[in-house]
Amino acid sequence: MTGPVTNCPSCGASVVFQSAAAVQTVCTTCKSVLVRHDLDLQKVGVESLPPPVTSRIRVGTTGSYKWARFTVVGRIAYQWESGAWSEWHLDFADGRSGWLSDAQDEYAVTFAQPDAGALPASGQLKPGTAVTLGAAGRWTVGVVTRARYAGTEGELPFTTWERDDATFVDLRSEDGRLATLDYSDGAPVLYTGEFVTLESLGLRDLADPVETRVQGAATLNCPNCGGTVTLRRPGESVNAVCEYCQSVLDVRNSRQLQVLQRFDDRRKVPPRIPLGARGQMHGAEWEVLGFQQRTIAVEGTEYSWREYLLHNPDRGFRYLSEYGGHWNDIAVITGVPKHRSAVRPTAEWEGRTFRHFQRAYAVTTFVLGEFPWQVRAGDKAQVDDFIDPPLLLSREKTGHEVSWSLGEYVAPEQIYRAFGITDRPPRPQGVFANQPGPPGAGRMWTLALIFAFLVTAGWMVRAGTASRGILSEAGTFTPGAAAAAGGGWSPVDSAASAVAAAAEAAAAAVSGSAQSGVGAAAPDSADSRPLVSQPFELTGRTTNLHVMINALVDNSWGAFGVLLVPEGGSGDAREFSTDVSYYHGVDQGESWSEGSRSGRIRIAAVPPGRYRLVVAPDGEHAFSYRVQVRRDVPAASLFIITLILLLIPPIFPTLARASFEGQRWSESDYAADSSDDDEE
Amino acid sequence: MKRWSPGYLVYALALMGGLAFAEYRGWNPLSARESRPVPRSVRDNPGAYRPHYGGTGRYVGGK
Repeated sequence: MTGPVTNCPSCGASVVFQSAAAVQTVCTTCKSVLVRHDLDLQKVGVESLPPPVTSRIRVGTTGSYKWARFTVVGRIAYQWESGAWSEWHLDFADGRSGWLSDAQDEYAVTFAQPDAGALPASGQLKPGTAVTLGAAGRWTVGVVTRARYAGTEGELPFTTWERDDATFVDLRSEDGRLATLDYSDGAPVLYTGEFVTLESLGLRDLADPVETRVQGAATLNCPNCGGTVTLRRPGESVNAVCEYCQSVLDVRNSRQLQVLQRFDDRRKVPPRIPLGARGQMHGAEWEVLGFQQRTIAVEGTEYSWREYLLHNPDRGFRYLSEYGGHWNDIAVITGVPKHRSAVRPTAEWEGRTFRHFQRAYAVTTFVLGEFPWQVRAGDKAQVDDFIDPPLLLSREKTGHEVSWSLGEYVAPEQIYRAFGITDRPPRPQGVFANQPGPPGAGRMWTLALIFAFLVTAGWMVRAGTASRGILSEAGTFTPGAAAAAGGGWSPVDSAASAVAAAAEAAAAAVSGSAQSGVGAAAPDSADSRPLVSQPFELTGRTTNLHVMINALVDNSWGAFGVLLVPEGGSGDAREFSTDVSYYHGVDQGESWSEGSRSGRIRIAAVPPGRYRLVVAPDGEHAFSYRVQVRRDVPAASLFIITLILLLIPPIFPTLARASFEGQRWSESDYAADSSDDDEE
Repeated sequence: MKRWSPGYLVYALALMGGLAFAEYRGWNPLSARESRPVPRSVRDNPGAYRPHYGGTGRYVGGK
């Protein structure tokens, strides 16, 4: 859209206003700064050239934001103590005026909010302060910046002439939006918007890369030692470190390098990934620009970790950190996580809850390479780490800035492979804060409990199903008779003996069945022969048979040989044994008893058929006894063993995970022997 | 996100199957130990049976 055309009052050249909202412009011919009063232009001065831009955006670039077309019509360049940035003035086709912030490869589109209501004074806002700005909602102060006007170009919706510096307060919301309070014009002005990527804006008519970026590296001479300093991002880097003398240099003005800091050789820390190395990560190529070592002191002991600054022209910056062989891949996040202060604070970000792990005061102890912002040894920051392995959410707080970053634990081999380092990475030591632990039992416990319930229910069903009583017979035992009968096997081979024995057996069976109960009859020698039961029929499936013997032993014992004899043509006799013992008395005035008068024989897998049971008692005193037989008795032990076997597998991973977590948290502020005194 | 454990599921199902089969057949880990062999003649003449320890007399408990 082309606006009114007029002539420069200084040189007469045509001045075309693209934006109807423009108040100030710069004559492209004579660089006079012109302020518009309706159609009249007033020259207020001559603008020096603003610093070069590092992105490909220029006046005339077009694009769209949320389906609204815009044209870049102007720019304000700012500088502050830690770097520089540009604000591009956007003239939208629908008449709106907006801004595209361009700072260290981070971009945001914002719009003025003239109806924001009462806004706080800049002095009330400090990094980390939460503030509600009327209808604009709730925000957290990120950075308070005192900036200097470094130049303008093109059309602006207000005049910047005679402005030297201004205070800006950047705010972030929990959902990642951005706001800026501009205190450059007395009354604060609120701008709100969001972070964007250049790709999302569909920019066209961009500057030629050659015009903006210096292709390749540039070399300078260190003013301290004369060594060669290689700049990989000339024009963009603010700091660089001489690799020979480790002097930190201000390289914003390449003709006048300034030594900011000198290092001692003894403090030199070699980076594991060399500066300038390029690696493939997240589908893009990243170059190592800078390296720093940061140190914290905990209870008098210093712990140092290393950070590598990576850069990709289209993706911006990210970091790698390394401590004790543990690596994290870190990116600064644009929003402010929801922070809950408690005995154990938490932070919520993108639906995940991070638990506070540690607070430390980090000091930069070594710097190498170059940085697009001011970095030097001695820089201090309060660092709070929140973890949700494998993620690590960190909040860094300095005097003028609060920033949040999100790291993800990465295997060292992955880092080395990405950057083509052939050495073997150092073996990680101990457990790191966000190191993924063993998987644990996962949902194994859920499954185990479901199956345990099924087993228990199965047991209750089986126990409720009464087993079948098959036999109940009684007998007596007299020691003399048993001894007379002889011990050990007495196979009866002769036919005569067999008949006699059968007759005895029948007599014994009749005698036994006639007994009305245990101990109902006085024992005699005839009853001491083996008890041969009446034949009984087992029907149904092959299943168990339980033989229970109750013997009235008193301060004595009884032993029973039990023979299950199938009748008919086939099948082997099966022999079992059990014994009972019951003793009792009074010892020093206290009654005692031990043992049991009951014995049980569980016979597994007895096929259906006709059987006879032979019970041969033995003992030292006479006693009477009763034999009962039951069929298909549920085995409680089988259910219990199954329950135990179900619960064993989840126990081991649970213990392994608990041990790992114990090691992890032993390094935190919440270790058993540490206090929470320094926590919020 | 907690993982389901297909390996454990298979293991638990196998245990349940084993329990059901053992229970169906009447097996029991506490089943009595059988004394073998028993002479086949006993089947024809059970009244002649005498246990292995018969008549030896022994003490199996008490103070």
